[in-house]
Amino acid sequence: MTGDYTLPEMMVVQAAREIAGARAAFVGMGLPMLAAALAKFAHNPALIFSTEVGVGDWHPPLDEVDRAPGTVGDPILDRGAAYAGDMVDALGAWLMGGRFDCAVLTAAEVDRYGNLNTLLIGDPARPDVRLPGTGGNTDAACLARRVVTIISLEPRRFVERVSFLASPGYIDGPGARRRAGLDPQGPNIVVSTMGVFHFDTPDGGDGGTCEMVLAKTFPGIAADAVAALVPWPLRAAREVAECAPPSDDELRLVRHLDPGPMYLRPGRY
Amino acid sequence: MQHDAPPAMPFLDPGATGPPGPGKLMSAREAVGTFGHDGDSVFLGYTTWANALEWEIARQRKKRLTAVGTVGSLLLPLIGCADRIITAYALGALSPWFKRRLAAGEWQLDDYTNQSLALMFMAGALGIPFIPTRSMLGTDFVSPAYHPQPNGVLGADKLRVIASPFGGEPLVALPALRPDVSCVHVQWADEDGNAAFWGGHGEVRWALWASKRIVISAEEIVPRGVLRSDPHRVTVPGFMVDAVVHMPFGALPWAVPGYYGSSPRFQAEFIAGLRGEETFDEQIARWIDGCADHEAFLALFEERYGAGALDAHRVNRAWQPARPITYGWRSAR
Repeated sequence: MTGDYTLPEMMVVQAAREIAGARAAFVGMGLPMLAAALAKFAHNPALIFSTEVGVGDWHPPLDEVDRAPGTVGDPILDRGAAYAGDMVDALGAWLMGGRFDCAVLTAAEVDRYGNLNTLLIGDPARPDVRLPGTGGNTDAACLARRVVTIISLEPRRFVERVSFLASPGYIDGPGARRRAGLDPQGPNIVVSTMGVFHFDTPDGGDGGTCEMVLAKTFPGIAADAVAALVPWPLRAAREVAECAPPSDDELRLVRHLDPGPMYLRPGRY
Repeated sequence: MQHDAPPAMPFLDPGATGPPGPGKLMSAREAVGTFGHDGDSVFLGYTTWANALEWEIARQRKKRLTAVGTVGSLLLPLIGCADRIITAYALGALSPWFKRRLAAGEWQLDDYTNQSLALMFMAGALGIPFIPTRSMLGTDFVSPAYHPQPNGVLGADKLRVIASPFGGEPLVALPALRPDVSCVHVQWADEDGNAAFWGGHGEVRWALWASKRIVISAEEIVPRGVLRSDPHRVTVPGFMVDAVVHMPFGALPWAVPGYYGSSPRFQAEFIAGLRGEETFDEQIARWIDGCADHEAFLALFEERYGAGALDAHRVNRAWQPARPITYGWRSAR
């Protein structure tokens, strides 16, 4: 605990602030569900909240919603949605067709260039850890115009190079997305349990070093403490800002949307 | 038990009932026995998981199946029915013995993404050999590190990176996928096989449309003509469907919009039990082989979790369309 909130709560609260300016968000499984629901109910009711199974623009009356969606296919998403279609609609026409300006994702690993891993750790033929798979994570990372990744800051999750590149960020540096046939993407950010990272590229991956850069820390967290948990020489922005602590409203809503709690159950992050 | 008696919903006079047909209603045993064969590729859909049909496949111990779908069946590989999996999310992966048997080459697995699988079904439905996407570019899915995939199903034919014949830009070409048989659970079907599912469809519509044979299970069998009075509601028309099975709570422990929510308690027992090598046999003996059919499962569920345990999953049915639509036309004179 830090004060009267936990760092995982602060991660979700800050992620919601970072998402709130989006117009249409692709919301992935797990923490993105909670953070995007918080963004919608705390900051931007007009946020277009859609998931890969084909539910478009979920907009239920807040007083009927007693929790965030539990999965991308949770029937709670049908209530007040503008559209209920399928994966070709959502991942084909909306995502690949360019209708989502933001994807909110999480992963098992993130690396120096913002690549994500959701598949396996170790030798691909005999992995040490075999995860279920990527679902729509890869699709969103390839095709969304901007990605917000929510992932707790732990040495096993922040790695110099993902052991399997399932979802591309800036791949291996400047120009790599374009060489692979992908469009530029950004500004991408990573929201962790200790602070927020940006990427050093002015144009979505063509210029700059494309490396992860510490941009903001959470209240009371020192930049050195963040760097100590990151296995590569972490660069920091010229001015590292400190995020505001959660407001009473943010904290009340994040707890309302995660009764149990399920997403933020103690010991999970 | 009151599980087959949800609160009444009025039916308007359906009028047109369609051409007379032989009817496709049958038991799960007959449907799976007739339309599921050893060696089949079997589709199960994430948003409308035909849990009771999956269990019937397991009861019949079909062999050498390929499980296909964005969520890969946990039960069918573990019980020995499926040795190949084509998926974007392998439910069994968190189980240590699943991982071990996969690494030993006993099973083959192809990892795709949700979008790529949905598009592969679309190509299968359209009768075209492949479909391009821009997803997976820049990833290890297309790199020599993972292509062809170790212990994969389709080998080098899993995908190809190609140049667009128009602009030359890179694309990923995906092969069409046509399941031999699809098992999908819906809210309503009629005896002709017309089937209505509402809620996010995932990849279900295109997978059904790509399938060579289709078995539908339904919460309710509605009178002939009800669905023909509202054809926009229909996910798959009966002329594409082979069998219809009436199975209330046929998706449990998963949710069905408008009917019931998921059952975390049952998931915790059964799903978690399947993942453990030492708890697996007990779960199979109790729930799969210990129940002759879905009715027996429902009875055992209430016996184990208490009278009314099924109805405790029921949802609020007050949320209905604010305004019915009309299908009116007029003939010019």
